[in-house]
Amino acid sequence: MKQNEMWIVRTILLLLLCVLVLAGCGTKDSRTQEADSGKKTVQNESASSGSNAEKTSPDASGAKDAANANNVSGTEQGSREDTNARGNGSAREKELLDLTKMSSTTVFAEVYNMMTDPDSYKGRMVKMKGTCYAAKDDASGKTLYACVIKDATACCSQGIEFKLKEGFSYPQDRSTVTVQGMFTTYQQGKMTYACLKNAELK
Amino acid sequence: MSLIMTLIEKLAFYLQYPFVRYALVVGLLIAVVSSLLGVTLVLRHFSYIGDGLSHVAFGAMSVAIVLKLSHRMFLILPVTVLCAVILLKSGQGRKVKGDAAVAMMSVGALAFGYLTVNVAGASANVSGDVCSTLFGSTSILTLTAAEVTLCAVLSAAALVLFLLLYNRLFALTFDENFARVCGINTELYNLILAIIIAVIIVLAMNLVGALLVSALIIFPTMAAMRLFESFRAVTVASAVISVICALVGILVSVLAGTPVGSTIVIADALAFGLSMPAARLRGGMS
Amino acid sequence: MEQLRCSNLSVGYGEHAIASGLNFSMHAGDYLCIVGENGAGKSTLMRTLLGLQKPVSGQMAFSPQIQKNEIGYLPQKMHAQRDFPASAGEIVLSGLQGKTGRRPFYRRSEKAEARRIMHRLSIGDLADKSFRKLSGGQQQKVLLARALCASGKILFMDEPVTGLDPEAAREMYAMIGELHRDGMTIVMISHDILSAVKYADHILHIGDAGFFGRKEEYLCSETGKRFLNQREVSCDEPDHDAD
Repeated sequence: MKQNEMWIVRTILLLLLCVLVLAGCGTKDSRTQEADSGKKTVQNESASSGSNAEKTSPDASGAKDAANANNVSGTEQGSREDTNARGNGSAREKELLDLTKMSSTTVFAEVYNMMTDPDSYKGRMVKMKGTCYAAKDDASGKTLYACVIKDATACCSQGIEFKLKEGFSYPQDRSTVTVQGMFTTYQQGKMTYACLKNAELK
Repeated sequence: MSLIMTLIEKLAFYLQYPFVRYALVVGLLIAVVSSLLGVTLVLRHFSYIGDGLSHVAFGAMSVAIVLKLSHRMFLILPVTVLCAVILLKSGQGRKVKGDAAVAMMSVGALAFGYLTVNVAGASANVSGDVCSTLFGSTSILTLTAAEVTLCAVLSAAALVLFLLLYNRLFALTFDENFARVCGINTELYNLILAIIIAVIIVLAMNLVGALLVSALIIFPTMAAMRLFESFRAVTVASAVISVICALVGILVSVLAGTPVGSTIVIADALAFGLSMPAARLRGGMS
Repeated sequence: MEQLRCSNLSVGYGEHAIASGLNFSMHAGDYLCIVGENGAGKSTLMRTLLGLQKPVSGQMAFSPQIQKNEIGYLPQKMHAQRDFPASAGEIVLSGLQGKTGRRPFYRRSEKAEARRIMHRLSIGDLADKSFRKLSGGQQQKVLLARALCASGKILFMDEPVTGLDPEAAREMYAMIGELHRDGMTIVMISHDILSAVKYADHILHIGDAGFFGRKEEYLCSETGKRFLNQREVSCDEPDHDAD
């Protein structure tokens, strides 16, 4: 009976476990704890764009996907860890978040994270590649453009609105685009929306 | 060689993102505790309970979504624990009695959950939430910091409990009647076990989704049982296999862009598939 | 010293009694065999005595000096245990669970005790072997070792030799006899009536014509004679009836 060995194995496992948990805890200290539901963003504009798209384009299901996807953050709560270490916040803010280099699973996850905790990503340059969806916003009468990505199984999709720099023309609806812009949020009425501003097409 | 270098570079690239690191830490912890739980459940012929409880948890999550709860776990955990206690109590350890009850609860909760979310769901992203909850396509990568902490703490607590109760659990799993004759309070331990089962199922849902939770519980144990003969060896092997498969699954899905839950389960299935020829080889050699 | 007394005990499931009107008592150092037809309620009685089932009616009481962790139990062979991945040593050690109290791990002395018991039953070299790969006789010895780890004073056994080949059965009886000589109280259910009357000193016959008393009385009683098929067995002068 090797119960003594078992005891040693158990102790080692316990220590490993503590190490694991501590490693995970280490970066949490720099986390901003935001539990305020008011700060959560609802990517709503494509809901209205979705309903408009149904009028303007025959492919209602595709637009509905985009509409569904962009309301991801409606009920999501909780604190998000700041991707940047507190110390060099401003330096990292300028660092490019290049989603084009990531696999579809991680892109989807990262966009989801951006939608549920936009304050952590404000000011970052984001580059993403997806399908451009154009829709008319009933409230303002303007046409909004979003870059939409699908997850690995292509059953869910979500996207971020982008506003190009002055003088640039918007791409065609349903075309594949690569967009780079600064992630930011803006208020419209009671809702907060996220978008990539000063964007360029790449 | 260059392929490996590219892979390592890509991995390093991904690992700089906190959400990937957290997914790995939490995912591996969950893999360990669910495989340890699996050893007890499989040997007591309770494997189906994992499936039933995960569907109940899905139903509870749907209600939480509809009610726009800020911390869904506060609803999901108690509901699942309650159902676990009810199921195990009514079964009284006899597998035949409980299976119909579990099946009804399981299917009813799944249908209820999906109906609730569709009819009363406030979020327009119904398919996204449901998809992720059922199949775990990206759920481990999109945990909030609070959820990460909760998952890590609960997994750690469950692991410590398993280590402390290892001998008791062995006696109970091997021969519950004998344990009772010895004077062990089997009712109490079954209650504790029910609570642990519920908690681990809810955690495991974050990793592979409600529909695939059973895989996390069953495959590592079955693979380990083919390879080893003593309870201690089976337990340790089960945990090791589960961790390796979860690690491989998460890394492959992150690198190749596949859904996380299914990739982990495929890795587990492969491990089980490989365990059979491996066992034969071992049998041939010894 | 009296260890157990049962008065008018009825055992069964729920309200339905399988065996009733049982009156018997057990003293330290007794070797009691419980015999009877199939379905008479022998196993049910043993389960009731061990606290696994509630009696339908009647009284049953252990002496206050007997603790729960001084009673050992060797149950009938269970199919579920056949495929359980465990080493013989782990199973024997689990018999000590009743004695560890709140301690999560076994003491060195406890492990040594388990090893000693295994050596006594000549299965010391099987400690690391897989239980499911052992022969029937060896498995029973492992379970007996487990029961010994759990017991101190009384050993309950439910058909310990059923399914064993004659050699293994003989060995088992020899071991049980040795334990009895060392002071253990033995309570055994057995289908093997001839061996039962050979080794036991008390017989409890459950069935239509119940009997409790010393073996010698049983051999001369109507019940005993009928059950033993009127074989040639030595019978003392007719004694008083059983208690």
